[in-house]
Amino acid sequence: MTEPRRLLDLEGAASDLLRTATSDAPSAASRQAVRAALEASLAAGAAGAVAQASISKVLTKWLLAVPVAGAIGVGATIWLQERSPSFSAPVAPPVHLPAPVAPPAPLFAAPVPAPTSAPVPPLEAVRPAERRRRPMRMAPSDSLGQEMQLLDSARQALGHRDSTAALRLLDRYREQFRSGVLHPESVALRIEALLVRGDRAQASELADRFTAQYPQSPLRARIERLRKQSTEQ
Amino acid sequence: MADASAPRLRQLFDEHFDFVWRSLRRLGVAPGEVDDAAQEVFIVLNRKLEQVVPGSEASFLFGTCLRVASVARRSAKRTAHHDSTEEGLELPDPGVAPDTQLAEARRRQQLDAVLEVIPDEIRAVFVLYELEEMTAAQIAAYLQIPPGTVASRLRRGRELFESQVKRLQARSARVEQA
Repeated sequence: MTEPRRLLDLEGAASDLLRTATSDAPSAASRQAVRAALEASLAAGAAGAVAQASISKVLTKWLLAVPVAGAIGVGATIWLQERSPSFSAPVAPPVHLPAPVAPPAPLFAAPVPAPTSAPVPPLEAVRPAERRRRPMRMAPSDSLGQEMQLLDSARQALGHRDSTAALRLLDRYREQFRSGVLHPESVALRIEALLVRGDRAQASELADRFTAQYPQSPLRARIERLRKQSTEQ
Repeated sequence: MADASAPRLRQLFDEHFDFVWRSLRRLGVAPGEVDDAAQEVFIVLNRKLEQVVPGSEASFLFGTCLRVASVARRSAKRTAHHDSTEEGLELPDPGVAPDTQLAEARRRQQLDAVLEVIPDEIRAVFVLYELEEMTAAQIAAYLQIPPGTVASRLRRGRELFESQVKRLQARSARVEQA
């Protein structure tokens, strides 16, 4: 198949509208929120599976899955917020929510069994929407949160075309988080900052190293586009 | 989840979160719902991780995005009249001027509306080619369809996209004249 030129590379109303999507990307805050929520859900799912096994067989598994997993999910989330050094948040748990019944596992770790006497909360106690959304409102107060804040600040500086401030923030990120979770994002932002500053050679060299180090990264397409745009200017 | 799979899941999250998030948005998940939907996608991945062949994770994730987005769109339609406060709400970026943000938000809404009329199987090809900048061969492998089908769906996707953009322009012109 002969591949047609992409609309992004063409001119016209359709191309212009499509280009709107290129700036629609998740923020570091979004990534952090989903990661935290995912951890809570996984911990809840694991605990819920154990809890269900001990509950009367008269009730069906389907009926129990939502309240048990939901309650334990919220409980585990609150426990995470209070106890976990990685995902602690300065938000006190609401008093009407059920108490945590099991300590959560660390990020993506093996399930932790819940006590077999875990009470089943009433159906209306925890709605699925609360189960999913509550962790996403956690404040970034851990090291990942600090990574995120630094990169958000750098991104904002780039929004103002202030490459000096952006690079200063990225230098600080590199000093503080040499093996940071958001390292690929920091490199991508550095490439963008270098291009804004007009330092194409260094940006290109860094882009090549990024491609070699993260061959599957979804950030590659953005980097290549930025590089291309800078050469066209 | 088994101990052995934890590092793999973590790595996959780090590598593919942005791709999953973007795919969900372009497949019609509203801004206010996309984080939840992304979480659902990775929960599904966690559940099926042992069955996912190494190297095909991104393809699996995109297939899951298609299903999760379909459910999310149906759910959004059902609840639209109950709760319109969060739907489509995007947090302001303090680094961008308000009028620019408003214009960007409006353009994204227009893009969402245009993409919405494209059927899922065609939209998937269109998004992967035009926005993710994959090759036709990659898309064929991702979606497990013949390259010829990729070509025909891309052609159809472009026709639909461009015709919808023209309609949008015509409507805007009518509004300005009125």
